Amino acid sequence: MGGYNLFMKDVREHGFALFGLGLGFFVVVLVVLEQQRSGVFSMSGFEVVRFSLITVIPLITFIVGNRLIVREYVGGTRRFVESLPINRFTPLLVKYFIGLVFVVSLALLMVWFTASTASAAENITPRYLQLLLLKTGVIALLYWSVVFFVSFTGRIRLVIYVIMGLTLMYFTNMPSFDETRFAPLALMERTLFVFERDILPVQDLIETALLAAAFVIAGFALALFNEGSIAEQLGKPISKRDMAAFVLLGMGCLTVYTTLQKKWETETYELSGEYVLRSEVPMLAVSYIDNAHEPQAQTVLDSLKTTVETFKTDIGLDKLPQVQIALNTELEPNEIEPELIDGILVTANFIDYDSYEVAQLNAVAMHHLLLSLTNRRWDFESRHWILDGLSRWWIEGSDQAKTSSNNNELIARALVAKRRFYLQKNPLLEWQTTSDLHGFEGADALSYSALLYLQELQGTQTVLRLAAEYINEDVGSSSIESVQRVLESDEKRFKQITGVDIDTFTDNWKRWLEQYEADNDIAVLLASVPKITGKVTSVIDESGVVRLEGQYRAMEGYDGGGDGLCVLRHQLASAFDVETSIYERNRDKQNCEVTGIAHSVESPFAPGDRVYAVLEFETDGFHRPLIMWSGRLHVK
Amino acid sequence: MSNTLAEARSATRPVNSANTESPVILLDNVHKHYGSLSVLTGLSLQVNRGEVYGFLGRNGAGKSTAIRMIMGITKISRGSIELFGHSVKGDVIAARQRIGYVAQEQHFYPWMTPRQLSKFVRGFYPRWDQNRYEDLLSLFELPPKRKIGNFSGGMKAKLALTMALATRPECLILDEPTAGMDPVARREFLDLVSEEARRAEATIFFSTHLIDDIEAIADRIGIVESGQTVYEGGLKPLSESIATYSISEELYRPGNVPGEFVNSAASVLQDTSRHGRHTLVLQFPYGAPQSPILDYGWQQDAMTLEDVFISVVARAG
Repeated sequence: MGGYNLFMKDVREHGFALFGLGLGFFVVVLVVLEQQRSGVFSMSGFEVVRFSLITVIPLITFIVGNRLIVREYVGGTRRFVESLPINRFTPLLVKYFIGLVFVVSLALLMVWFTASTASAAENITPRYLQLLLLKTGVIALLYWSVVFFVSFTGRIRLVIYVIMGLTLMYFTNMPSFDETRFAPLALMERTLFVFERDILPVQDLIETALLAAAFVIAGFALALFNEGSIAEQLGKPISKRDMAAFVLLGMGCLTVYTTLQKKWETETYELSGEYVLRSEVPMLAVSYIDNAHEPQAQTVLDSLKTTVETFKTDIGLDKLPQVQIALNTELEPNEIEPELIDGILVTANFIDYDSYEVAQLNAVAMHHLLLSLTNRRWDFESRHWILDGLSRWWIEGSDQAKTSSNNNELIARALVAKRRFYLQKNPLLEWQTTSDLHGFEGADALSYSALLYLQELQGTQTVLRLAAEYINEDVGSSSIESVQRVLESDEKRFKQITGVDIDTFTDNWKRWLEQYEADNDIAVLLASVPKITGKVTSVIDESGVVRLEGQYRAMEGYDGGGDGLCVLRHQLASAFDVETSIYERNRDKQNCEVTGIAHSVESPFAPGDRVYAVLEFETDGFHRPLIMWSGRLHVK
Repeated sequence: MSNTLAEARSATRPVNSANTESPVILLDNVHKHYGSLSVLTGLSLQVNRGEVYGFLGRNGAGKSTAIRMIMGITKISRGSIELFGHSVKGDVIAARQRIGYVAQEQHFYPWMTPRQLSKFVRGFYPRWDQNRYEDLLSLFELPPKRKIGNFSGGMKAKLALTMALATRPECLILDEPTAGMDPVARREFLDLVSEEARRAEATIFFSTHLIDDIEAIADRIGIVESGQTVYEGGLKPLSESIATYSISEELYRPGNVPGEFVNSAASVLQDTSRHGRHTLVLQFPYGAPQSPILDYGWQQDAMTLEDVFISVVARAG
């Protein structure tokens, strides 16, 4: 009876406020969802869930803790309750229960709400939804448990939150700290939280729940220890002495943080040694290993220098960051790897590169130069096609691109990719899916062709204006201006610059692309590529080995197996893997048969693994394989 | 003092009849330590059924701590406390349901009205009397629909007493309820307690540092100083056992006493000089002599109960 009375009292006291808080929260979710739909964060609707779980839900949990617990101590009403005929434990339990139900319900409702809006565009399986609900619920449980504990620390609670935040920031900024390996951070990992559809992170869930339990126990212990005298003392208003201590502590933390930040800001990596070719303006460097490689390194440097100089003039930039390319002979020739270090460094095995491959290498370097200039803001999906396209467009000579030696191959590759345009509504805006379906090579070719079409349609200046829009992007001088800029969708900005609606542009670009099928040189290249697609499935054979089986099927206009071989490639997948490694052991070459199973290979995978598989076509006419089909499968 | 409430109560019911039953409150050598800080160092007292017990002590003497321990809010470090014949370590919830408690400071929820307050608390008390609550609200002129946050300190104290009485308590515990009240509110509050005290069955444990609060109603008192009981018994015997004598400083010689008191082994409670006179406060175990023969220069001064109280706690301190 007493517990029920306390529950009803809290409902009467906080019910209206909590309802308002919940309502406000859903308005925020709705706005973010709408914003997400308009294209700025458009990879998945569930990114909104993660965003809210990191930002809004903690804030709400903090407010709930303040209302339910802190107010009771600061106002002294706890003393009134403890004089009633009820044990000391029950009021705490009631408060924990109310907060838990509210915070967890709110978080779960958000998942359900997002799922119901996202289901129009995404395939939301019950398993996927269950995973999201479970992860969200456990994270919300942890949040409330932490706030429950910290709320009993009264006037020092803000200091504790700040210390917790700084500690978290310290660890997540440590280069050697892999947050994906530690619960609860692993549960909120950027890609896995949103895109993992099958695998239940049992250990992370259990660890997070245990952590929550530890905070709950600590909360009860603090509230009950020594008849609650510690919590009561901490609940008293902050004194001038406390304030002075907090200011000193804050200054100390700031000093430590600034020192650590300086430590984190490592010097930009510089290629050094005698085997480095340099250009001072623009700042470029290409390293090699042996004197014999110098001519090829010089070719790479010269090509990149021409491109970067043109780019600098076109956009009117005073200074550019240094771009470095390093020779790594351990890589496969087709592997081009941007390194995760400060500064722009791309490694590749460019010893035997021809002009197409040098251009491809420099396009990757250019891509990262553009990303660096825009502080990675160009990474957003709805504008990413412009980034990819411009990288290649400048390398191929910008206004001279159409006459470049690589143009035909790029257009032909784009036309091959276009064969599977029926899978998407707008391949330019759904760039993550486009990259997934056609690989980076195909995506580069498509975006390059789209900018070439824009150039042909409206002239080079329009392409440059589009580039300048993002390179010189005004992010606003205040947070309000920044928000206003974010609210301007990329479609809107595209239309402002080109005067053309992006969907109309896409349709016209597709038609423009089609006309090249009649071009003699391109037609020859296209004729060598069979009009096929396919699929890969996993089976377990009699000996218990997981096998991958690849099948092809003819598409409209199929006229034979083409002039080359079909290849099945596969690798263990994480959410955004679109490039499979090309090691021989993961590669199976066969003739392109459209009947029966073309590939049947033993794999190292086990049930439960997620695998990224690709069916490619290799032919002499194209430098890189062409993707016929790609997809992720779950080994069962 | 002949018409005190205590005497009136004695006339209407047999006060000592309660002594044959188990005490309502019994503290035996109770200690309380917070780390190295000792708040109570051997407190013993006994409150019998049907009596009004004045619990006197200076601020910081340990009164509130003792009451919090009686209520089972604070744990005992050593010793024992019994409520209604049962250890407070047992079913403290059942014991609290039989007690009406008015704390020193009122910490009601400010957003509640007295009516909402009754809805909230009545579930905790099986003997809650809503009619009595409403009657008392009306009697104390407390608006039932106004938020408690808008009440004055005196109104809150009256509301606390209303709530405590509506639980139909077997024992009413008042922890310095008049502290901080203005004189009018204090008088009104004390009148209400007096009314309650007139009920024959009322057991009241009234903690205060103001002897005036309990002078008229207490059957017995307990004086606590430095965490210990320094006196327990009737107020009248205490005041009758203490007398004050003074002499001018010029006539006083160290070691002088006011005179010889036949059959009276007096002990000195206070020995002070003030306003040009030297004063001795003496306590006589068998009562102060009614007409003492005093040496030259000495005179017997009048004493208020407050003087008596101060003398007792001064010696203990």
